[in-house]
Parts: sequence; structure tokens; C-alpha cells
Amino acid sequence: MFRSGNSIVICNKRFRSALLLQFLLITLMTIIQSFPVSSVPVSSIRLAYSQQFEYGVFGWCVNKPERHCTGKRIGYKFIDTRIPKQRLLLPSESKYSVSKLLAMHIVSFGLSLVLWQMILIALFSRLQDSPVYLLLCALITMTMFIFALLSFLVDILLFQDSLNWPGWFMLVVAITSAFAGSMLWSYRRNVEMRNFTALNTEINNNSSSFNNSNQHKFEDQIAMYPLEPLPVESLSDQSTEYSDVNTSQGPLLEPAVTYHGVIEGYF
Amino acid sequence: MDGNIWRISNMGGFQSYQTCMKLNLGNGILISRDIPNPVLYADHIQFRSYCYTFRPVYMAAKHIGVPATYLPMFKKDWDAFTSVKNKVGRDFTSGIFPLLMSYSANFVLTVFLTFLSFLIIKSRPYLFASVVFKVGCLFCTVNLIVAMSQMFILLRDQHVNQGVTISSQVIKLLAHSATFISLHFLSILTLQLSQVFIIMRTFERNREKRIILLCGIILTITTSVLWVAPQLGTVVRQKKIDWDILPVFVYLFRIAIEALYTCFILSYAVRQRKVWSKNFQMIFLTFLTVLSVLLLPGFFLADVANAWIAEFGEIFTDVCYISSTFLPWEWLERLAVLQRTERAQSVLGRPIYDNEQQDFAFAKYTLKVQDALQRHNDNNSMSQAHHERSHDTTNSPTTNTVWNGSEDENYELHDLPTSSLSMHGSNHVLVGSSTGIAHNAPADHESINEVNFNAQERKSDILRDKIISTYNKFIYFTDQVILKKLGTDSVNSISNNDTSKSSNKKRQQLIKKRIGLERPPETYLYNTKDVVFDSDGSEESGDDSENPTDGSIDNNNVSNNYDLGNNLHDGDIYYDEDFERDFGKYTHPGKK
Repeated sequence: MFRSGNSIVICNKRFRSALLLQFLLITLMTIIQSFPVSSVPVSSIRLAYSQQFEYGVFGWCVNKPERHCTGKRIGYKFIDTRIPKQRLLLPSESKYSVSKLLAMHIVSFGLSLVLWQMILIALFSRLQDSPVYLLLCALITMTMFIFALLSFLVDILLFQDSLNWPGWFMLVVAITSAFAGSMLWSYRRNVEMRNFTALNTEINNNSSSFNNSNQHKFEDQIAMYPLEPLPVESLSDQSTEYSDVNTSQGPLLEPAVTYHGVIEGYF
Repeated sequence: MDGNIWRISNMGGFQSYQTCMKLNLGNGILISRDIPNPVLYADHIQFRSYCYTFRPVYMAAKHIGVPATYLPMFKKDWDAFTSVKNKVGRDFTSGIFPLLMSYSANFVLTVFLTFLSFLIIKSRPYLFASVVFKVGCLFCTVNLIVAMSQMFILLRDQHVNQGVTISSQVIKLLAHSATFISLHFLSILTLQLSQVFIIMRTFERNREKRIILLCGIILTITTSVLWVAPQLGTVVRQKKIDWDILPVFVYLFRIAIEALYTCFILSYAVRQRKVWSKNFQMIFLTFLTVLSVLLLPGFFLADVANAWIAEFGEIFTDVCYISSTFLPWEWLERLAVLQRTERAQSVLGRPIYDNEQQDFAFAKYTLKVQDALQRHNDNNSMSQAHHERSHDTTNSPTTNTVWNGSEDENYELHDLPTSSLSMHGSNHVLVGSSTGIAHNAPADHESINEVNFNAQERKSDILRDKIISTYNKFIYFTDQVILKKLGTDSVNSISNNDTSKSSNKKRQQLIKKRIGLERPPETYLYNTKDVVFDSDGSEESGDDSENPTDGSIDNNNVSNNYDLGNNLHDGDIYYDEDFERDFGKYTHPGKK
């Protein structure tokens, strides 16, 4: 596939664009996930809305007769000191303690931020050629998929059909992260294969033309070991039946001992 | 089931029913078998209807032929009870009949699928995975048999002693029985593990299989343990512990894990669309597989939206798990057959990934050992070697050409698979260079053969060694033990699907035939020799060593190629034992 140095460079560009697409997807996911996290008490985005109640990740608000909001904390309490004479009603029959699970939104947002940074680093460094790093990214994407789905399920459980668009978008995030994960995985495969092919190509080039200009590129990828002849000391002392050829000279991979004497002695 | 009570918060406005309190009926005649006299006149009769948590319950007992009717008070209460909405247990769907119906359907399906799994699923080539799956199926079946029998005993007791049947009692019985919980835990654990193995099969590279195995086992154990902890806690302490959000979290986490599994199977189905879309049967099976895989998350999603399906979904969990494991398994088996027929047309018969070959790692290791040896050599006899070399180069001009004419001592061997080593030939491997790469590596002054008994190892070194050795053991385990039995697809697996004795004998005969043991014991020893002509010159007569420049190295390899007969170790031998020992001792591995 990759025979010459030029084709490797071309493929590099194509691979880079795949990573760029990946980056765009993850940026999109991060932006979408920032909406639920910055819902009601923080801004005026509603995660869910039913009757006179507005629900968000960090608290809830009442807009009738006057608009009051609770403080920022994880989990709802059905009576809040800032909202006098109002008992919180949930659209579903779930317990109030289930609302603590809305923290999944924050976890999945955090994960997507981490992933965004990791891909950003990969884009502008040599880490984009490291399969281990890309594997780490893919695993984080998988975790993000699980948590995005979890936060969507918590939303559905708590708010059912009164869920607003930020909640439904979590499903979109889950599906997108599944796509992103599989893309990252195949990208990792390609990188692994490409590194290997580049290594092989470089070896081939090196063996044909002695001082290749590309050599410095791959120097750190190729583990180089000097080939020094090994002395075969003990054999020659013990018997004279075989001829010891080139004891201190010659490469290791060449046969150092021949068996002429042995065989001819027997037949 | 009982754990799902978390989803109900407000029990609604509590309505009191008069029949559940004590009613003063005044004086009258009592007719019953359970009182000392069948007919008794009593004063101040007090009546209380059978209630469950202060609510009237449905009477399932037959009372044909008894002219008595319900009291008007009871009828009024019953009407009031049926008219109240949004109550647990008020719906028909959470009554005893849908429960019985779904349990028996679940039971029949599970037993059927277990039978099928034992009949259809072959133990090879995925021995371990198939055993795990079958054990999981068995757990499910045993669990359901036990649960059904317990349930029927309870229902009989209720019918005989109380004259009513209460579905919530059944659910409570199952939720508080340690056998049910532990068997359910085991069955779900094993089935989830076999789902991990199924995902492993969809990946072809060994390294990826290893990653999938590791992640899958971690996720499986996490979900199972988190699920079983609050349940067993309730059983052990005999009261409801306020675990608060843990059951909810686990419940949703299981949905997410199943969705992940669904994603893997769906993506594999999309990738292999060309293979399965060729014949109708496979299309149908694919459709069924996708349906079964979607069933579990679908049920879960429906649960979350609607409370009563929740119990339904939990009842069907077993059968959903089994079917979402069994169908993809069978689908993958058939897909593998189709893939094999396709791959059989290629040269190797299966996909091979260059960067995963074992030789690659072995070559690395060999080079490292060689490097260490060389450094040792360097330190000890650098000057001596140099002296000898200069002496040799003056004596024999041929050695100069071997080393590419370089006077430098450093020669490099690139790190590359041995397969390509043999392909390129020896003169391609050796590359002279002016850069002293040997100095890049940290110089160790100890030979690898030396052992320093007195030197104390540092603790950090010991720890590192231990970590490395455990890692190596794990890798070895996954590679040799698990991957071979779980995930690696082999070409000849079609032929090994029978384990009966006759086929074993056949195989033995086949192998004997291949090795050549069935032939009469004869030994052939061939010796090919170089023919040296006088005209070749006298300088080569004393030196028949390798000389890659004029290609005589190949001749040399051929000349030393002693082809031994097939059955050296069998029956009479025509050579001396000493020779065998010597030959075994000095045979160069490169000359076979």
C-alpha cells in the first residue's frame, strides 16, 4: 500500500483530516452537553418544564406567581427555603432522591471536555501517531457514550414527556459518541498499520540505498542494535572433528560451524 | 420487581376503607367450619375483611353454591377501591394473572432456548465461551424452576388458607429469597460474560480482543456486583435499607451496558452486510438477531417511561439476556462459515496482520540479547578484537567484501520481523552505518551470564519486575489460554466439530500419516555436497565458509542441508546414538 515516502505523506494528510472531523464531532458534542449543565438556576435554559415548575441539573424554579429559584446543589429537595409555600412536584412518580442522578450530566460533560482536549493535543503533536494514546481516547469515548446515555435515561425517568430539547439532545450525543468511538477505533487501527508499513518501507529503502534522506524520521521508531560477531570459544577447544570457521569474524546470522567433518567421519 | 418501588414516591391521598377496620355487626348466626360449632349464635360480632396494607384485596376463591353475598359495606368499599386511579396494584397488569402468564411464558422460552443452546452450539472452536454460555443458560433454567415451584407453593397456601391470591406477595417472595437473587446474579453474570466473548469474536486482531476482554470483564463485574449488593443487603438484614439512588443507578447502568452491546452487534452487522445479504436465510437470521439485541434496551426504555412495564421487563430479563446472547452466537457461527468460504479462495485462508506476528516480538528479543552480549564483548575485548580484525583483513581479502567495505566496527541490524529477514537475504539485513548507535543504549558492564549473588536488589527493581511478570503472565494467559479458546477463528475449525472417540482415532491416524509414522521404520539420511572443481582456485579450498558477495552462502546453506528421514525416533535406527546427540547439539536452526 505505502511503498514510497511520498505516498506516506499523502496518507498523512488524509488521516489528519479524519482526526479533524473527529475533533469537530467532539466539539459539537461538548457544546450540546453544555446546555443541560448550564440549565435553570445557572441560566434560563430549561431542562424540563411542567406546570409552573422549571427543572435544571442544579436546581429548580417556580415561575408562578413569581419567579423564584433554588440554590445550586445536586439533587432536589421538595421544600426550599428560597421558595416559600411551594412544594416541588415532579412530572413522574419518581422519588426526589433520583434527582441526585442528574449529576451524570456533569460527569459526561467533564468526560467530553477531557476528550476534546486530548484530541486537540493529538491534532498538534506527534501523539496522533501513537496507537496507545488513540486507544485511550477511544476508551474515554466509550465511557462518554455510557454516561451520556445514562443522563438521558435519568432525564426520561424524572421528567418523562415534559422533557425539553436539551434532554433529548443527550440521546443525539450518545449516538454521535458511538459513531465517534468507532471512527477513532478504525483510525487507531490505520495508525498502527501505517506505522508498521512505514517501518518496513524504511527498512527496505535503507537496504537498497545506503544513506536515505528519510532516515532521521524513523530513527526513533526503529530499535537499532549493532551486530557484532560472537566468539565461539569453547567449541574449537573440545574437538577437532568439525572445522571452526571464522570464529571471531562474520555476522551472527551466518552459520559459524559446519559439519563436514562430523558427517564424513561417520560415512 | 420489589426493588422498583423507588420509582413510586407519593402513594396518593390515603383513603381509609371501612371494611379493613373492625365492623360491629351486632348479633347473628355464624356459619363456618373453622369455629367449634358449624352453626353458632353470637352476640356483638365484629367483622374485618381481609386487607393488604389497609386495602381490600380481590377474592380469587370459588364460592359457588353458597347463597351468601358480600356485605353491602364491602361492596361499597370495593367500588371505591376500583374507582381510585394511579395506585400500585390497582392495574390489571400488575395483578396475579398477567404475572403468572408472563412468568410461565418466560419459563417456557428460557427452557426452550437452553435446550437449543445445548443442541446447537458447538463446543469448538470457542470451548470456554460456549461452556460459559451453557452454564449461564443452566443457571437461568434452574433459577426459574425453583422460582416457579416456590411461587406455586405460595399460591396454594394463599388459596387454601386465605382464600385470596396476592401478586405482590409473590414478588416479595422472589425479591427476598437469597437463592433467587444469587442464582439470578450468577446467570446474568455468566450471560454478560458470554456477551463479552461474542463482542470479542467480532474483532479480528488479537490486541483488540485483549482490550475488549479486559474492559468487558471490568464492566460486567461492576454491574453485577452493584446490582447484587443492595439486594443481598436487604435479604441479610431482613429490612429495607435505604440505599437511596444505588438501585436506580444500577438499573440505568445496565440499560447503558446493554445499549453498548447492541451498538457493537449492530455495527458489526452493518460492516458485514455484504456477507449476510447474499442469501435469504441469513437475512432473516440477521433480522431476528437485531430484534433480539434491541429487545433488552427496548424493554428497559419502555420501563422507564411506564411504571407497569418495569415489572414486566424485569420478569423477562432472563429470556432477553439468553436470546440476545444465543441469536448473535448462532448468527456469528453462520457468518463465520460464509466468511470462511470466501477466505478459502485467498492464499492464506485467513486475515493476517503483519504487526501482530509472534516472530516480530521474538526478533526483538533476540536482538536485545545479542546487543547485551555484544556490549559485554565490547568491554572485555575491544582492543583484542580490533587487533584480530585488522590482522584478518590483511590476510584474507574476501572478508572485506562481506562487511560492505566499511572499516567501522558498528554494524546494525534493524528491528524487523524474521519473516522479512528470511525474505531479504542476509546481505540486505546487514547495513553498515557511520553513526555509532551502540552508544545510544546505556552501557551495562555486567554480562547476561554473570550472576551477582552478593549484590542486593533495590525494592523498586523487585516491584517493577513483579509488575512486569504479572503483566506478562496476563498477556500470556489472554493469548494462549483464552484467545485460542474464545475468540480466535481457525480455518480448520469446521473439521474439528466432533469430539467422539471414532473421530479422535481418525485424527490420530491422520496425524500419523502426516508425520509418516505408519510407514515401515526406515531412515533416510541425505547428504548433499558441493562439488569443488580444481579450476576454482586454491584460495577457496581451505575455506568453505560463507561468502555472500558471490552468492556462495546460498550454496553453503544447501550443502549443509541434511534431510533426515521422517521416523528417526521410531523403531530401528541406522545411525549411532552419539551421532544423533552430536547432530542435535550442533544443528543450526537456520539450516532446517
